[in-house]
Order: sequence, then C-alpha cells, then structure tokens
Amino acid sequence: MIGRVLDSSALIAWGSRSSPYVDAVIFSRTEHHGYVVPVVTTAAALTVALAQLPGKAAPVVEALLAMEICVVDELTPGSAPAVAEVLREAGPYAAELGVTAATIVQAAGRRSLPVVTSNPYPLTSLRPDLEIDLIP
Amino acid sequence: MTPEHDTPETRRERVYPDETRAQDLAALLDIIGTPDQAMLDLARRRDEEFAARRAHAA
Repeated sequence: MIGRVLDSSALIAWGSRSSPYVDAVIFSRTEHHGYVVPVVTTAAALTVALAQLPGKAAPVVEALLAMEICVVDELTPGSAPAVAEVLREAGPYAAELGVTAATIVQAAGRRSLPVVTSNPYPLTSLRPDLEIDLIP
Repeated sequence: MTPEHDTPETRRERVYPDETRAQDLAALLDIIGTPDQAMLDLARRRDEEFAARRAHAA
C-alpha cells in the first residue's frame, strides 16, 4: 500500500462528506499496521478547501489533520524554489493562479505518490505524467 | 534560502503505534460510519495498480 496526496477537491469531498471513495482511501491507510502510509496535502490546498466549505465542515477537516497519517506540506522560503520549478513549465500567465496546483504536483512528485482528485486538469497541465487517482 | 524540497524525498517510514492507529480509526469511524465496501475494494485495486506500475518501472 502506498500513500496518497489529496488536492483541494479531495479535501472538499472529505469535508463535505460527499465521497465514499475519499473516505475509503483515508480509512484504508489508517488500517495499515506497523508504519504510517501517509495522506499528504499542502497548506495551499487546505486553504482553498476551507474557503469553499461551510464552517460546520471545519471540525471534520481538523479531525483528519489531527491523525497520525496526515502530513501537510507548507509553502515556505525553503520549498518555494521547487514549487516555482513546477510553475515555470506553465508559463508566466498560469503562475499566479497555479500556485495551489503546483504545491500538490510538487508534493506528489517528491514522494512519487498518486493524487486523489476529481479535477485532474490543473494538475496534469503542470505535469502530464502525474499519477491520478480519480474520485469516482 | 535552503531548497529543502528540491530533491525527491527519501522513504522515511514512521512507526504507527497500535494505540495511535486505534485512536485514528475510532475518530474516522465516528465521522464516516461504516465505510463503503465497494469503495474500499476500489481503493485496494488501485493500490495494486499503482504498485504494479512501480514494479514495472523499476
């Protein structure tokens, strides 16, 4: 079993309780014995998700963040060059809007993990060979 | 500025203590109830597919 990266659409699905598949992905990582099989997201994707979820969803998201399996990558001065490298491929006009997607692509790329998403196009436009775990 | 994320992450397995895992599972079940078996099966099949791709690429 390998980990997964959750983009904002997957976090929204989790927070709004709208996807049994996202539930299953998270649940099955938690069932794994011995070592952590991570569920990774980024602070940027989390911000986008929280902005689109009603306030009552916040405790559900916070519960996920509190779990040992959950890892949140921050966008810091130290990580900015690698995220910028992803954005550079998209050209100057995509850069401003694509930061969130770029953090997800970078988080997945450095760990060689698939991304759980219902909207793969912003991600695959930045990296066509990105592995996608499409939410059914 | 340290480019801390510019190289692939080395695999660092963190121990998942049974007690912590039980707490996480309890929290999850509290939120989701009984997980959908068909979706669990789909997640498992996709895990196998991703693993097969990695084995093929290696």
